[in-house]
Amino acid sequence: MQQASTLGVDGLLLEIQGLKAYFYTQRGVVRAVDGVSFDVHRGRTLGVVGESGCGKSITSLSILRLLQKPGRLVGGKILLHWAQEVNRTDRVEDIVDITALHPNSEQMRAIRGGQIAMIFQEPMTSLDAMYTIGDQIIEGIRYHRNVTPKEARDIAIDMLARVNMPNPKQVVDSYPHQLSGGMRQRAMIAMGLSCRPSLLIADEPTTALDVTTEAQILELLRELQAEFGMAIMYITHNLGVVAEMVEEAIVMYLGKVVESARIDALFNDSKHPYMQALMRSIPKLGRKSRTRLEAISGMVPSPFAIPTGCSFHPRCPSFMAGVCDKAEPPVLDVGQGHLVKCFLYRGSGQLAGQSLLESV
Amino acid sequence: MADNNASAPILEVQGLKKHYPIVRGWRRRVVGHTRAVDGVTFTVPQAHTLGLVGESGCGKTTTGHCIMGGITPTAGSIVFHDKDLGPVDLAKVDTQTLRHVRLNMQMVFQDPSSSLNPRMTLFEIVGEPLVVNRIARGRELEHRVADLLRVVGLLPEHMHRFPHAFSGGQRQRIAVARALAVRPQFIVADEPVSALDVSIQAQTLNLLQDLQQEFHLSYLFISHDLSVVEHVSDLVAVMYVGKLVETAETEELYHNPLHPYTEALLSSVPNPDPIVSRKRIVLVGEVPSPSNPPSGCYFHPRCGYAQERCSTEEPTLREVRPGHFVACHLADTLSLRGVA
Repeated sequence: MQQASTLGVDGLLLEIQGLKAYFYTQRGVVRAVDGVSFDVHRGRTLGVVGESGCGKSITSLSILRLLQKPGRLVGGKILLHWAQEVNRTDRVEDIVDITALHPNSEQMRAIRGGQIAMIFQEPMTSLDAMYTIGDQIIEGIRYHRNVTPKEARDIAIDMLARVNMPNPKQVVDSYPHQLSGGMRQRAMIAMGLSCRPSLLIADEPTTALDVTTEAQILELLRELQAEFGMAIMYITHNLGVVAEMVEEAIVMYLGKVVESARIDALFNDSKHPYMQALMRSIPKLGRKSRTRLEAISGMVPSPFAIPTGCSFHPRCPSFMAGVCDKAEPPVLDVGQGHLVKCFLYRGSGQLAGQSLLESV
Repeated sequence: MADNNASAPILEVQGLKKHYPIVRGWRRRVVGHTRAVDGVTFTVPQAHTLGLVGESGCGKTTTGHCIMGGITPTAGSIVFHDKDLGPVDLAKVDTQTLRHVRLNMQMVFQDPSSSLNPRMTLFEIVGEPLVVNRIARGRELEHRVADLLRVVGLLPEHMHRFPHAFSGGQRQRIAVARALAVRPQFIVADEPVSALDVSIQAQTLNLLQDLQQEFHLSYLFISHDLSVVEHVSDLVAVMYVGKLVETAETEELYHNPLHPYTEALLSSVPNPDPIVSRKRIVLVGEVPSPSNPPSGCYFHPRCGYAQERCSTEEPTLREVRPGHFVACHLADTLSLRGVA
């Protein structure tokens, strides 16, 4: 399972290969994540774009092994390149397959919070109302770092100061309800970063916040990334936030990655009809008002009745009868690592390598 | 849409206030007031949309509820131009008249999964306003409900299903159908698309626009999403801590904002274009509490242009350009950045 190697030259941090997470319910099997592959590089930001039910949150829960019954990981690999310091100068990199670990094992618990931290969408429900902010941050610090309670408290206050929390010495002893939404999200971020993770998964961290607070939090995340150098996996459905925050992005639809590209290519030259339609359907600031939006027809299908072939075909404006509804489209590279899973591009690029978005 | 200026008003709100007392101790002594809405004045023209924008806690929802009569305002007048009764001041009206006026004004709420009763079928939900107001019953009721469902793009065959069988976007259509049941002139839409997925938002916004044309509806569209408000509104009012800080026609407000808060709001909206990198104004601090607002202009502690005068003297809403009202001492001197 483990193999030691020298510190990754390619800067790979997390490789996800053909990940499958299914939910076994009485009504049938829900393929929430169905063969998803992507890479996260050290210190970079990856965006995960998709609507509700596309599997973006299940992917992140799978990475942390927090998937609850009836959900189960049924396939694929999640390889974490775990850099550990042996002594002052030498670092070795272990490659750990997270899917092979027991969710409660010591190693998994060291990874969760220590190597990979997560901040959630709604800070009120993800913070415990019964404990002070300080208690909740210190718990993680004490578990992952070998420090005394006094030191842990100082680290917590220091972290709160770094996320620009006003009066950190006072806030450390306050309860979540005493803070505003933006401050709670700052506390969540402080908690996530207190153990210096190499990957921060941010699951819609600003969706519940107002625009001016959202701007503050986005600015803060950028500053902290420059300071701590962690990679960020930014999950959102807000295309505006994606355009501003990330370098590369993957687009998910019904548990599959349909497009993956650098951000400028994705926005200016999007290939997949779903992404193109999504771009057209959002009202953009400064556009002439009172025009009609081009809505995507239909709705996201029920997870129990995912369409055959390409799962977007019933809503797709470029649907080709007899092609799209028959077989699943392959993943094609249309140039410079811009991957798209669509029949429209057959022949215009060569087939992508095996390590990339693997289809069933 | 019809042209902007010639239209008669459907709703005129004058100096609307809603203050909640803050009580202390067992004698429930009043120690202060939370000024949720503090002197709001605006007009919604007939068959037009007024967008009311602001951050959470600014009083935009309270304003909507005051208009609908769900909350009794502390002061001010709300004049609704009813198609049968003429102008009626909803703040002073008796129950009998209010019951009639409510047939002409309806509301659509934010989250359709909590605004629809899960134990009622579509037929019961959409038909209820017709039954309660004795407009239709029996066969006719069924026909009316079927028509309404068709109007909002749902299948009449699904009339006997429960809300849980529908997706978020469809549920919002059900809520719209219920609002339309009594053929209102005016609809208060409180964040009607914020709980919906991006691809469904567009469908719902288009539906609201189509219905406006078909039935000559006027909307008060309450939202925090500036891009959505720009898209649907003819006029926009910006609210901050219970007060209006700026109102103007949509294009004018977005391109030539005159209030520093509007400028900051516009620059905070993430732009779905990675090439355009704008200098963003990140406001410091938080929205002040309406129970303990700052002195002078409520925005001065966060304002980049604030001067001494701003912390002592409260600005009033004044017309700086034709149809463009702003509450800022410096409106004549500042040149602010709108959207490109």
